Amino acid sequence: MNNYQGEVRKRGQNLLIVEGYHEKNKLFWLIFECFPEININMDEIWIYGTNIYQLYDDIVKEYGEEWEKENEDIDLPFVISKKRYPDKLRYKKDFTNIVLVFDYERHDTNFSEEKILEMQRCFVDATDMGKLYINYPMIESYRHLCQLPDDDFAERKIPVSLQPGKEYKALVEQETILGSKIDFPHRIDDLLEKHFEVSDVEKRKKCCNEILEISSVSSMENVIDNALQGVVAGHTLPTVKYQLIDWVTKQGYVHTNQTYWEYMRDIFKQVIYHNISKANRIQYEQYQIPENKYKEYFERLDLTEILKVQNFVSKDSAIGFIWVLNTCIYFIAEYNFRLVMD
Amino acid sequence: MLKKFTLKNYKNFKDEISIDFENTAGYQFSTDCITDGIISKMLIYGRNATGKTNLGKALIDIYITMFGGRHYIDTGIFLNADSIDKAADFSYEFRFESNELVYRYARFSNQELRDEELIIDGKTIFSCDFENDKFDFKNLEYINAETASIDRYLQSMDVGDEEEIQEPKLPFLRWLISNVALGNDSILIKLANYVRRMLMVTAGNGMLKMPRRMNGSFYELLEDSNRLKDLEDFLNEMGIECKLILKKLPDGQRELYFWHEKLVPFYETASSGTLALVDLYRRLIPKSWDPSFIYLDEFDAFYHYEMAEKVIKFFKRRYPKCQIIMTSHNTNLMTNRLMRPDCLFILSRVGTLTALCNATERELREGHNLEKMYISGEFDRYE
Repeated sequence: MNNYQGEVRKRGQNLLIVEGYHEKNKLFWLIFECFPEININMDEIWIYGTNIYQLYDDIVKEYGEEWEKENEDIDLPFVISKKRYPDKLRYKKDFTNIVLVFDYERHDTNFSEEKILEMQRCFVDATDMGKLYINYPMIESYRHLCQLPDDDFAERKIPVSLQPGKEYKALVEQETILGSKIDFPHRIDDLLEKHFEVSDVEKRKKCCNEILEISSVSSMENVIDNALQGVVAGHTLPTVKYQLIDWVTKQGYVHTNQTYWEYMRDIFKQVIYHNISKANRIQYEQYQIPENKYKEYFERLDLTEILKVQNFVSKDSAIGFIWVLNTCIYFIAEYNFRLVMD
Repeated sequence: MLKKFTLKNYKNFKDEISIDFENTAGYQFSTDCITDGIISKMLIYGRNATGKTNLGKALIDIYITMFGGRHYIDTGIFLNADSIDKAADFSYEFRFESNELVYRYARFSNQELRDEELIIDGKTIFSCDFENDKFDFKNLEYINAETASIDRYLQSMDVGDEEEIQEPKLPFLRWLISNVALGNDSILIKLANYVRRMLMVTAGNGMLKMPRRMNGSFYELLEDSNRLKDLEDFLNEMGIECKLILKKLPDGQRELYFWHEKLVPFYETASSGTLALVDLYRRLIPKSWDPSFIYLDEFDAFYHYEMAEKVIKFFKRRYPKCQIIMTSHNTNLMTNRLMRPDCLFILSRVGTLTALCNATERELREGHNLEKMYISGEFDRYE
C-alpha cells in the first residue's frame, strides 16, 4: 500500500447562514428546485443557525474590532467551523456560495444600527466573502402579497410596535395568497405521512414529485393513481387519490399546462419583481418601473442605502414603521438576471 | 486576424476542439483584450497534462505547412493514440479586412499531408487530395493565380515509389505562394504575411541556460549600447533591478555580466526568472517586425506574481493588435482588472476549452473575484 493519497479536498460547497432553520430551509429548497440552473444541490448546503449579532461577535473574536474598517478578508466557513467543529475546519476557498439571511429584528435586545450596517456593507458577494440579505421585518415577507399583481405592496409597511415576530407571521398568513402555493409540496407530504401513515420518506418524496410534475389535466388522474400504487394501503387509495385530484386542481398549475415547479418559477419571478419595485420605492421613492428596465433598476439598488432608510423610518418606537421588503429572493436575480426574465 | 481554429485527432485531442476568437461577451472592461471584435489577449488555464503546450504546437502547425522549417518539427507522437483515424484535421479561419479565408488540411504525420483545401469568401479555390491523387484547381482565377503552371506542380508530386528518399509532398498552398507572382494586395500575401509572423514561445523548460555560442547573435545585438540599455530598462521595469555590461573576451567571444565591483557572469548566475525574462526579450523585442500571433506557453512559470502582471500589461501596450495566447497556472492573473471572463479559458481533462463566462450559469460581473471562484470550484464542470 502506498500513501500517495492525502486529504481529499471537496470544492463547490455552499454555506447558508440563517437564524431559524425551517422557513429559510423551505424557501431556499423551493428556489433551488424551481431554478435548477443555479446548480445547487440541497444536500450540498451547509446550513448554520446563528443570529447576526452572535456572528458579528464571532467575527470580532477572530479579526478584531476594526475588521470592517480594515477591510479584513473574512473567512466565514473558517470562523464558524472553528467555533463549532474545531477539528474539522473549513475554508471559504471551498465554497462557491456563501449566503447570509437574517431578519431585521429591530426589537432584538442586541440590535445595533452600526453593527448591522457594518455587516451589510461588508458582505456583498456570495461568491467571495458572502452576501448578506436582510429581510424586513422578517423572512416571511416573501409571502406578503395579497394578490398578483399587488399594487398595494408599494406602501405596505408594519408599525415597529407590531412584535414579537409571530404577530407578523400571523398577519402574513392572514393576508397572503402565496402561502398555500408555496406550502403545497409539504401539504402533500403531511397528508401522506399523518393521515395515511406512509412512514417511508423516500416513498413519500417520490410520490410527491410525481404529482408535482403533472402538467396536463388529462393525465392527472392516471399519474396520481400510479404514484399512489404501493405507497398507500389499497383500501385508502381512492380516498387519497380524490383528495389529491381536488388539491392539484385547486392549485391550478395543471390548467396552465405547467408542472408545479414551472408554475412556481413564474410566481417567484413576480415576487422578485414586486420586491425590486419596492426596494426602488424605498431607495429612490419610485415604485413603478418600466417593463424592460427591471434589470437596470435592480443593478442600481444598494442594500446598505435601503438599510439606512429602514433604520431611519423605524427609529421611533411609537410611530416608527418598517417597509415590508424581502431581499433574500434577490439571490436568483443576482445569480443571473436572465433567470427572472421571460 | 485568426478568427477561429479547429483541431481534431492531434496528440491528446481526440475529439474536435476549437478556439473561436470572435465569441466575445460584450464586457465593458478590459477592452484592450479585444481588437476589432476579435479576442487578442487570451489566457488559458488547465490542470497539468491537459494539453496546453500541444494546443500551441497545433496552432503553429500552419507555419510548418506553409513554410516548412525544421526548427519547429516535433518528433513526438503526432496522432491521437486512442483514435483509429489516420490523420489529424486542422482548420484555420481568417479575416483579412472584408475577406474571409479558410485554410483546412489533414495530416498523417508532421511530414505528410493527406489533403488540403483553400476557401475564400465561401468559394473553394483549390482542393488537393494527396491520398487519392485527386486535385481540383478550378477557382484559381478568383485569387488571380490562374497563371500557375499546375502541371509543374503535379509533376513534382509524381516522384514514383522507387525513389530512395521519398520527399514529403509539397503543400499546394506553399508552392503557390512561392511560384506565382501575386499582387501585394493579394489575400494570399496577407495570409503568408500573417502566418510568417506567428510565434510560439515556451518559457518553462530547458532552453534557458543556453551555451554561449547560441547566444552569439543576441550578444551581437547587445554590442549596441542602446540595445543593452533597452534590455536593462526592460528588466528593471519588470521588477529585476540590475545593471548589465557586455565584455569582449581575449578570444574574441563576448560575454554578458551583471555589473558589480567584481563582474558576475550573467548566464551562470542569473535566477530562473531573470533567464526566462531575458529569453522572452531575446525572442520578441529585437525583432524588426511585429508578431501577428504569439503562443506564450507557461510564460510566467518563474515569475513573481507582480512581474507576470507587468509582462501582460507590457504586451498589451507593445502589441495591441497581436493575437496573444498565454497559458499559466498563476491564478492571480485570473482577474477582471487585467483580463475578462470571455478571454479567460479553461482547458479540461477531456480536451474541451471553455471561456469562464460559459463555464457557469451565473452571470459574471466585473466585481467578481474570478480567482476565488475558480479555486472554490465554480467552473469545475469544465475543468
